[in-house]
Amino acid sequence: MDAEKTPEERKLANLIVKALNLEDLKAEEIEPEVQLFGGGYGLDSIDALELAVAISETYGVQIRADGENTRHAFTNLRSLSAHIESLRE
Amino acid sequence: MTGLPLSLHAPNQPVAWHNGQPVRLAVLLGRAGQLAERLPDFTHTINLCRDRHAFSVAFVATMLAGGTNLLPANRLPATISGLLREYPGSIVISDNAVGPVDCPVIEVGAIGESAPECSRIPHLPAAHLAAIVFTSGSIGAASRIYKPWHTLFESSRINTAYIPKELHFALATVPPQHMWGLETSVLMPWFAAQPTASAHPLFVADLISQLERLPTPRTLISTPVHLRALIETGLTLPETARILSATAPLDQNLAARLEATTGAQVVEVYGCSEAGCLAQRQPARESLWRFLSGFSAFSEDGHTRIDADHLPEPVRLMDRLQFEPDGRFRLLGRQSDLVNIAGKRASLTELTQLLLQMPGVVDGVIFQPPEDDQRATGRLAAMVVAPGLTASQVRCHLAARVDAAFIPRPLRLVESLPRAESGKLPRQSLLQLFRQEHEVAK
Repeated sequence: MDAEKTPEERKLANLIVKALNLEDLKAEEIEPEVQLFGGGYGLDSIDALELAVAISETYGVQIRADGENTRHAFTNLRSLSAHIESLRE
Repeated sequence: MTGLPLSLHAPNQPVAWHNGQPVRLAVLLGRAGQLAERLPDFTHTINLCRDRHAFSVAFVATMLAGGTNLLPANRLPATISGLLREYPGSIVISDNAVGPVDCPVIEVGAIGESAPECSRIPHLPAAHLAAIVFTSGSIGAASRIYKPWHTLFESSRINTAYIPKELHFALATVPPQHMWGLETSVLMPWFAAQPTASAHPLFVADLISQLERLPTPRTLISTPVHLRALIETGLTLPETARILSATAPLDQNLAARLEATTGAQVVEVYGCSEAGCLAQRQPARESLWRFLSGFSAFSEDGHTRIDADHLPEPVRLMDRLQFEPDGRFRLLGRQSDLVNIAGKRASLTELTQLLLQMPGVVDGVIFQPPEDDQRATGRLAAMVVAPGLTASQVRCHLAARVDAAFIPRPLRLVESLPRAESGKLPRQSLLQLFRQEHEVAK
């Protein structure tokens, strides 16, 4: 299933596991289109906040939620990765 | 009938900041009155509004219709259906999409933009049950706290002690359903000169852009988790006069850094959902807490209890307090079984029982690791004996039943737990195994 991920998505999955101390969840287990927060991964808004800090440190971009096109960025790994890439362009 | 006013302000006082402009009390009351006409009488309202102004309108409307606001700690479908079982006939009011629920849902999108103003300040019966606050995902009796209007009214009057007299515009990062958010961002604007923004930012960049839109002087109402993220992100806060923090202890170094980098005065408030805000301090320069007026403390069965005229009954605190002769106190930490994460509460015993109920789990424990082994948010950890199950299966089982705040991370599968012959699990042996496994995981 990991083959379905782009290199950027794999990198982000690794960051999620590391930043949120999810040592029992392997980065390969994070499916690109499965709901990231509020679902079976057991992640909540505080995790989202901490992940946003880690993203700003790693990628040098600031995550927002109040823009129209960014509202759904945190839906899943794929949307978040695409959002980060769009911010870096 | 003794009645207490909804607000101590004149109708023209600004109480909120919504869509880029101040909202006066008369406007809020007009919108609430219009919404109240759509509500059944004496109903329980599950108030899920995220927008603070929409929440406030729904909160007042519910009271005007003679009803009670139910304020759950989360929006999990299991939580809502539990509330509906407990309070049949309840309705949901929400300003955003709610999943399928088995009750009427009133959506308040454009919140009464056309409602006529109302300049008459309503009085509510003192004993009117204004809200029931739930401190965790479970809706058991232990997590249910009754808030008659006179309790909220007197708490709010007491809380004005830590709010400046001059007009401040406030932004809050805490949800209005949580007691800290309810007291400081919903009720406070009706009692002190602190109109509060309807926004509910999570990320630091959003917090900053929302603050920039507010007139000065400004107050930021937040929590240690958000404030730590603010410092770690390294972004500059726009001019802010005061920062209020509650829900967990604010590290004194963090408080000092916040004051140095933002120029704001940092005030920390200690309280609990049962009693509301209890005490305050300025953590950058003092470690001792001072009670707000009206509260007295006494010790019983090794626990500190708090009493005040406006509380329905004395409140047993979860924390251990050490008093100075002058009545100020130091917080010594939690009583062991109850944990508080992100302002939500749970019992470790109950969480462990939920874990052990899962088919395939032979043994297991959910516990709070020592502070030096944790992230800043103090998440829980679990060690589970479950041959044939994966960690992710166990996590999914818990995620369906437990607020995400309490999902243990890490959750480790082990061969056995280091139980003593008596069956007890000595904390030292548990932590030793936890650290060994941690080394392996690295």
